[in-house]
Amino acid sequence: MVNFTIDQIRAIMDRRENIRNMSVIAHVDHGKTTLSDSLIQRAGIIADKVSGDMRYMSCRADEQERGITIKSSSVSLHFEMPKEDKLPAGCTSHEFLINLIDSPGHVDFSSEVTAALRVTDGALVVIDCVEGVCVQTETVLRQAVAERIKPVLFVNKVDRFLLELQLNTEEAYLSFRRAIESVNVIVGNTEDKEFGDVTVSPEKGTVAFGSGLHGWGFTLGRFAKLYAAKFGVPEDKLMGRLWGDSYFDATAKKWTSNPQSADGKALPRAFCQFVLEPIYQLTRAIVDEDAVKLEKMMKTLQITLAPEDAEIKGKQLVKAVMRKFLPAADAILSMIVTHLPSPLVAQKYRCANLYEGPMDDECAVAIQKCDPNGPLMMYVSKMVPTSDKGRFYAFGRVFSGIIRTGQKVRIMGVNYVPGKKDDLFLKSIQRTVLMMGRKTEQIEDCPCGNIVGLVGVDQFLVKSGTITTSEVAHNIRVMKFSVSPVVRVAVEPKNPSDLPKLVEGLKRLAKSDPCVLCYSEESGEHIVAGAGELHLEICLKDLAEDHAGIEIKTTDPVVSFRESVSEESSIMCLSKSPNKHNRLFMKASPISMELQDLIEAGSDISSKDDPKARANYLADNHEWDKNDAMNIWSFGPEGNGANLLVNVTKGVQYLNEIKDSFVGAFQWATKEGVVCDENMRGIRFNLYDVTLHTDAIHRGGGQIIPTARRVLYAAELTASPTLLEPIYLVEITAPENAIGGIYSVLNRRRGIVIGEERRIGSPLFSVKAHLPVLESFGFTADLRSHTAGQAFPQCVFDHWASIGVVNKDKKATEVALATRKRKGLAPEIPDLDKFHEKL
Amino acid sequence: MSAAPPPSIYTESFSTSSNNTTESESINVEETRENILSGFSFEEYFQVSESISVIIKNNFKKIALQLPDYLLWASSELSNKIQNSVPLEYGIKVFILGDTSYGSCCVDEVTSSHLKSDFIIHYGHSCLSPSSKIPVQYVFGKKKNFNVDKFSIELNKLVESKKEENFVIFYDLLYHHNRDSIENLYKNNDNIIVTNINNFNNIYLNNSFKNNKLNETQNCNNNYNNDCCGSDNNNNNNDSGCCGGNNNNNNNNSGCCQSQSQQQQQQNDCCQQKLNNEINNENDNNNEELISGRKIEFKNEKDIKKFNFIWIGEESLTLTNLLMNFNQQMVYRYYIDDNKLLQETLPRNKSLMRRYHISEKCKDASIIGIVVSTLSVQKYSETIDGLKKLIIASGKKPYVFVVGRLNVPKLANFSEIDIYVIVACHENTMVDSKDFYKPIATPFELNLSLRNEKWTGEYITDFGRVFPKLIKDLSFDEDDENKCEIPEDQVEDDQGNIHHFSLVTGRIVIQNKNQSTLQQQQQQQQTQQSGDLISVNNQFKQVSLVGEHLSNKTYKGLDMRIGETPVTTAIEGMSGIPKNYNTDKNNL
Repeated sequence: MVNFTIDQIRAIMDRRENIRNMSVIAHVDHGKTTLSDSLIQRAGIIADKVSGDMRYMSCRADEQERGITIKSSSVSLHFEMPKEDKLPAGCTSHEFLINLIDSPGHVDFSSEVTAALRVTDGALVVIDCVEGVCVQTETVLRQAVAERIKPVLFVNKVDRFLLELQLNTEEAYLSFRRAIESVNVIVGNTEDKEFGDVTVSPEKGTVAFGSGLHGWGFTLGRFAKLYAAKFGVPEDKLMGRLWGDSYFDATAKKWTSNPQSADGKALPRAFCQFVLEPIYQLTRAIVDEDAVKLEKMMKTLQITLAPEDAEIKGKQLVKAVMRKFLPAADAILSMIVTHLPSPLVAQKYRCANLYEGPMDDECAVAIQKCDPNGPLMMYVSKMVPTSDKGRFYAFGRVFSGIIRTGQKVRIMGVNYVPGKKDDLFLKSIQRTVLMMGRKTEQIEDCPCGNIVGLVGVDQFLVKSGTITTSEVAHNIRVMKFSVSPVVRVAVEPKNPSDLPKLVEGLKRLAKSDPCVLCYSEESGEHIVAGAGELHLEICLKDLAEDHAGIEIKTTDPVVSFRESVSEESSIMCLSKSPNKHNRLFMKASPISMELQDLIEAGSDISSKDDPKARANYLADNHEWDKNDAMNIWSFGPEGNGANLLVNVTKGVQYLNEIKDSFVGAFQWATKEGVVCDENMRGIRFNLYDVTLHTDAIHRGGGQIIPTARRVLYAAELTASPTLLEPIYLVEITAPENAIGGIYSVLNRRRGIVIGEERRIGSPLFSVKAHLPVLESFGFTADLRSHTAGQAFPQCVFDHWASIGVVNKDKKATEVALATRKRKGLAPEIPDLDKFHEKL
Repeated sequence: MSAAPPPSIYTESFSTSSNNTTESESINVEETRENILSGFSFEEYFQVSESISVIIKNNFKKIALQLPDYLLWASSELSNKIQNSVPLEYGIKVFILGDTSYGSCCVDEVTSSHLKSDFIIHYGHSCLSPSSKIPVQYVFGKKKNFNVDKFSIELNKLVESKKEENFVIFYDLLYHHNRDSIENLYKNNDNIIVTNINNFNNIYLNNSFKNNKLNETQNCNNNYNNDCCGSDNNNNNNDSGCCGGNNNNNNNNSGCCQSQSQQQQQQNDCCQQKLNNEINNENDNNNEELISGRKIEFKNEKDIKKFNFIWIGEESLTLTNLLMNFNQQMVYRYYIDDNKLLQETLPRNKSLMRRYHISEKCKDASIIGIVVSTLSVQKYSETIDGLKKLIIASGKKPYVFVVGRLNVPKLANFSEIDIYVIVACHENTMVDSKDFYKPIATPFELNLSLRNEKWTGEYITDFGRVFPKLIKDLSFDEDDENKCEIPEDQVEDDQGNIHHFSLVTGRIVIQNKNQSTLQQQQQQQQTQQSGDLISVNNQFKQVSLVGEHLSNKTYKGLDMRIGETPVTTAIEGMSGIPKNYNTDKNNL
């Protein structure tokens, strides 16, 4: 029994003001998928009964098995607002199309959330009322706000207060308020004028309470409606009174902000009295099997149970009754349509964040207006596997124009630069499809403001990209992930002749996940890098079973390091070219951590900046000499890394001729450092002097490139080379008695505790710590075994930190040598003599 | 360097920089000598008497000695000995070949033909590549530490444990003098074969020479190939006659058989023989196969894939080669000093993976440099031609480089090249040094990746064996059974360019530019038809991949004066070798 047809949906797709694109985001196990189920069930896709344990949005077998979401999935819902409800501003009809994306909560899969947020305009933030705001809630909320996504809140698992923890209504209220406040602290401190106020509050109707599992939920509006007649107060006004320090003095028949009545009696809070109390009583009546009371309450609340529910008792009955009384789907869906923006509204302020090009070109204008007659602009945020092995739907959002089957489009990859041919492909769209959870429905075309899947463009995009019809279009900005792939394994086939299959499999894997990194190294090793152990585990499983279909061998997880320096080079390094006619003089010095991060973030300072502006910025904010800053030759590796090649020479002849060769060598050397062939990070190479042969033929690339590489290596070696390792921020939630176990495990693994706090209103403690990724393998299991399974960690990459100076500190040297061994390099760190020469 | 035992030289014989040779001079010659001779007398080690008897027998006049760097100390003594031991009336002249142009393992025919010499004595390790326009005597050197009895005990143990299996024994050339004693032990064992290198005095002569000695019937080794057919196809028509420099042998019936790996002696066939004859030859003689220049005479089992390999000697390029080429089979190595026969677990999976990685890189490249590193191994020039055609057919741009001995600065001079492919003898074809700015692939790898063939795990270092594949169906459109289906990640866009997702760069890269190929062909046709100059239009610009590189450079050279100098027609320049151009007056 599907409540709507594809044609119905297609019809609403043209009414941009009646579309809502939203994602469901939350911490792991806070109940996103279960809640999504009840929304989908409302749309009639799944049966009433199984809602709550069906997990419609978890399509994969392992998702169902583990009970966690791994991939985000999208579904389009048709929602018809009750006729008597007031329409949100600008809407023309009571019919709405809601494109809902359910996202994973585990921190390892954060990239899926990012991909989901990009294509939506609003977010339903789900919070477990017992656990409150957790680390992942915070991360995704921040991301949402940064993407200019409006949040609404759903406080979930309220039934646990009633049935498990038996909190009284006032305690429950305080818990709610704390959760809402902490959300507002996170979203409220952004000074974004265009975006406006994004804080949530129950009296505005942007917070709902309920239980996804039991399928009930409410906003204050629901109760305001109920009581409006009784009090003779307009709904809007009443909503304000039902939250906060507001009390109803029954004897005086007056609303007051004083918790004491006129005659000195303590008054119950209005929220407790009018909202929570009925729910509590109803539940208690059922649990206590007080049939009489239940009958009476049901009559006043006008709840009639279906005949087949007459027999059930206990929790099942609670579920049935509550669902009739306060259907979650209705409350949430109307909250969504009322308080989340339509594409028409949202794209106005989101455009500046999305589009890389000038804000007044045809594409930007069309995006701002969400103009179906403008040029096509679509962003593909991820790839969804099809039933056809190795092929993917390109999943994304149309921001302007209409995308049609058979239309010729320009597919622009991440590296596309307007006016050039790099990463640009011309191709026609084979099919457009609507993503319906585990199913897809073919549609002829898709107008702007909608989320759509494309067939036939997956092979031109690695993970994401822009699709347009305009020749002047710039890219839509690349997504920034909150996690980085720091845990790596090398994979190889059991049977060497399966190597081609493995390579094909890796390519598929690279596409299927927004975050995973698959590449082959110079050594011929094939590397899969993921955000964490769980992520990697899932990826490897997919690789072996689906993508490659072969038996694979996996090495132990390894961590990628960065080579850096801690001091300025102790001597002036010199290398001579093979013909001895050219000399290069160079020193290396460290770049401040702060600047390194800025360069890697690529926002404030990057290789693409105007050199003058960059020089000013460096001189003003990072105490650089302005002349030096003007003479930055290159960023490396890959032309944008956090190493700088600075020309500080004065008046050297022919220097411009060797610049290209030098930069080439710099890219090469920074990619494969001398210590253990890892990327360099945070090294500034100063070129002090150069003597060149007067004949051009004797200072060609052949002489300069190898020499430049050697002098770069010499400079690195003389500047107290260090190794940087990635560090996780770990948050562990556990009851108090498990804290000792947590500390001992952290200590053993070089972890440093940075904070510990009690979650008010719950028996839980949360511990925050920094933990080297190197030590994190098996951390979860270790932690569980030391805390009797009570502690649950979430690890997310935080920063790089030095292990120590190579060849001086034991640990750093060990790590460097082990890395060399793994890569099949010579077992010793090369001597300076190989690179540095005497004058 | 010379003080080190020879194996260390093997591993780097190809890319040693010139520095090393100069340094080695300073090393104590006496010590080196003791080390290398390892108990043999000078004459014994260098087989001087054998050389002399061959020279006298065949009446050779100009004798060239080719020595690797580690034997250079012996050069003057050797040349004196040979010069003085041959009676004066023979009037021989002995030369020492100086700089070898490529690897010291290959016979340097070019230098010796400059001298117009008629006999080369090659000392030290050799790759035994089929070559030789000129008669060659190989002197491998000797080592004493091998004990046949001890070895046979170990081998018997192994054979005992694997009764039904076949074994083929390979050995380091230093132990060639022990070969017969091993052979004697296993003469009657049908499961064990000992490879053979020669049957007559370590001399590999070309057909013309052999015709003089028809009584030596057992001389049916492939190493008598010569190269004339190769040069034919190669438009090197300057090579008058088939056999280059050996005319003074007074043997005008010089055969030039086109024997391939199957080593058929087809004396009567001459230059007319076309390439497709090779295939015919294969069936004629199933009893022999040539692997790494070594002959295997099969007894019962004829399929080389069903053999286990045994290697006697140190780690060397030959062993690496065997491991790569026969990566599905078991290879055991006999450790002479430890007297142990162990399975060689060289990380060949890793090597294969590394090579496959390079092969993948070929797909991404748009400009490919073909480095010529041999001028003697047969079919080198057809191979280069085949590679060129293949590269052009894939919409990429080939350039041919002849740089002599490979080193880092030489190749780094051409920063526009994305990847190099090396045409060299089978032992030197895998260049694994990290120092090269751009990777160096083998013809096999290039062929594999550009043709999108499915890799079955085989690996071929000998480009002679790759060659038949190279010339097969050059056009991409043709369907071929060997061609696997187009991998799913390769797609054509609306312009007909084929793209694929590269794991190396993590990007979608253009693999085959069909369009440009078409244009190129069109351009060529146009020029042929009209003979006029064509204006450089936009389409032509797209073809010039190197031009794109130039446009990205910050420095484009001094004062190029484009369009300011008059256009002149091209004229034919000089040809031949610089010492003596064909167009020089005294040659006319």
